[in-house]
Amino acid sequence: MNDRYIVALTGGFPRTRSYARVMSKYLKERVDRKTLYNDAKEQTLKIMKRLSAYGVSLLNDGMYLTDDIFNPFREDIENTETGWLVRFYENNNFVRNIIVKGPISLKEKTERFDERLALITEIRSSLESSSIFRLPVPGPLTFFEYSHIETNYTLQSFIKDYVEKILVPLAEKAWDEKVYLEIHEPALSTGALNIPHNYSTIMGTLEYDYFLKTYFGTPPDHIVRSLTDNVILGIDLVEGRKIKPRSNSVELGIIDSRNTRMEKIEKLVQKVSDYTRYSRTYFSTNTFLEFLPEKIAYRKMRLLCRLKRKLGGM
Amino acid sequence: MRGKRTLRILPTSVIGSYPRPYWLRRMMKLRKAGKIDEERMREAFDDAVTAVVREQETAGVDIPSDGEQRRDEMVEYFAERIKGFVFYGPVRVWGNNYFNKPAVVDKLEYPGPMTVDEYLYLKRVSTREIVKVTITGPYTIADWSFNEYYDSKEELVRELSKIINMELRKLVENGAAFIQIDEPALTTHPSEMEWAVELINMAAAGIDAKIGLHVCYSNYKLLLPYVEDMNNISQFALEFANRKFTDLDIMKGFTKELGFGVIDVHSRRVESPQEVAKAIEKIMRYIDPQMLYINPDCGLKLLKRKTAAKKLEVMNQGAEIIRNELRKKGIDSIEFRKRV
Repeated sequence: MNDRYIVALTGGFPRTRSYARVMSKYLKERVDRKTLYNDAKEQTLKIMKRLSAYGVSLLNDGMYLTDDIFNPFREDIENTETGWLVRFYENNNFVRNIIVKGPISLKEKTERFDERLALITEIRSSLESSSIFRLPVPGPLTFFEYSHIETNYTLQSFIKDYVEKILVPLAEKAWDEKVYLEIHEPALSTGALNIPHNYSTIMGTLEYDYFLKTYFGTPPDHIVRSLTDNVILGIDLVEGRKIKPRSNSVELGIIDSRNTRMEKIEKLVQKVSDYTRYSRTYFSTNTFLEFLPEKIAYRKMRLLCRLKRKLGGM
Repeated sequence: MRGKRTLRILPTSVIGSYPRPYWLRRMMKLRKAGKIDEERMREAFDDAVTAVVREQETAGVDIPSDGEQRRDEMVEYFAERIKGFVFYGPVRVWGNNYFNKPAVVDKLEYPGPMTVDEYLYLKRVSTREIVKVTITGPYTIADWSFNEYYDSKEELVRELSKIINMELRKLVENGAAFIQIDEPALTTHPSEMEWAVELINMAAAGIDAKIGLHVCYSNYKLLLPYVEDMNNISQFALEFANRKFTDLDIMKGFTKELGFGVIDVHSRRVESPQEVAKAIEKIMRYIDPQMLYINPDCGLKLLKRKTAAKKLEVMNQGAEIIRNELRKKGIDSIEFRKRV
């Protein structure tokens, strides 16, 4: 894929009513995991086909097999348990936090991650397009922020373990399937945590290219400057200020996925005009699309594709 | 003039919603398919309220609600009635739970009473002297809506405050003694709390009833500094079971009544009376029992009906363990206060 502009899907996509019904049956133990998986595959494929037809070429799994960004992702991590319901930042959206009871590491079998990866590879093989795929997972700071730590971790030691023992092996698994990690790290830009000075160095352990999605604010300048070249930084241009990462690619979250009001394309063009130096620019919504009703989510993705066409992208 | 009203010590209540009976859900489907008329549907809603009020009372609840049987969802219900909203479709809130998030596309207008009939029917069928009527607060309606019309969210909340105030006045005119304003969104945006509190006060201004405020799944450290500013709110109904009763010490020095959440409404596991009693004992280190009401964390509607009933029963049994201790000290009742 050689386009200068690429439209990207970020995080979870609103679920169809029929999938919600199957999920409900699954939760009541009336259907098994395999049935849920098959339905997720069928529904996700329809969504990705439609988005692909619009011109969205960086896709993901829509997070259909997840409850939230942390669950059941954490089920693949040793010494953790699912905790209680907490608000996901400043949203009417709730996640279950994680209780960390001991040193973290990946389980021998990473069933939940593998399941999502399998879903992506099946969807990709069914799509008649050259789309690229990424898989949303939580970043170390964000995971820590939503953890109830019952062991001897400091923020810094936790980040180190999380990156080395969780993200690195998962990135390798994903890379084997030609899938990027889409690391969600809103904690980098909300200012709630004291970000360790060596955050970028620790993240540098990840050798493969990956997307680092920040939103609900702006990450600190010193972090942005020190990220390694393999990081494609996702910045929130709806809630945050303009920043310019030093790598050759950037992901611009230029459409508000927390309001149904549609943006004016002229304003979007204006926003993008500050980012002409990048050899590749990804256009996306600032955060998950699950904050929106399904039909508005489609409209917003279509608008991003219109923007790409207006700027001369194919 | 009515004399002082008293309740037994540690009165139990509910937050609002209660699971709809299976047959009511069937009737709603039939209504949607046009197979039954409005009158018959209304009768089914009335019957459901009668059933769930009785269920709450049988479980030992002192102050029941109508279980919000006529409401699909707490914001949706009001947005369907207040003029100026439209719906684009459901939005997921957590797990497999969705609600029809409304969008404000025009100037909002009060449509006339929205909850008065609910209250009057509840009052008619309950055997209790005091019942609770719930209303979603202006800040939460705004925060859980998309704003496509007003220049600012503050302006939108101000409009909603006026509307909610009109509704509360109607309720009081019809005899409502205990109204709970639901504001689960209140602490969502810390930078908005200052004006949000001012506008909730505006919604509650001049209302001659006991007003409770329910705030759940929230950061109470952000809420507590504003409690004293909420003059017309006498009770705060807060969720503690979900967070496993951690950080209860933040309630030290709390000067209003506390509606203490002792039942986790998002877990199918039924608590034991001993667990409930232990939690009440723990909170009594910080709150005087004369200032304490006992309730579940939040509405019970996501539970199975049998589980909800059992949880309420256990809540009352747990409270009774502590009541017995208090009675030994001569503390057996609490005054029903409009103002604290």
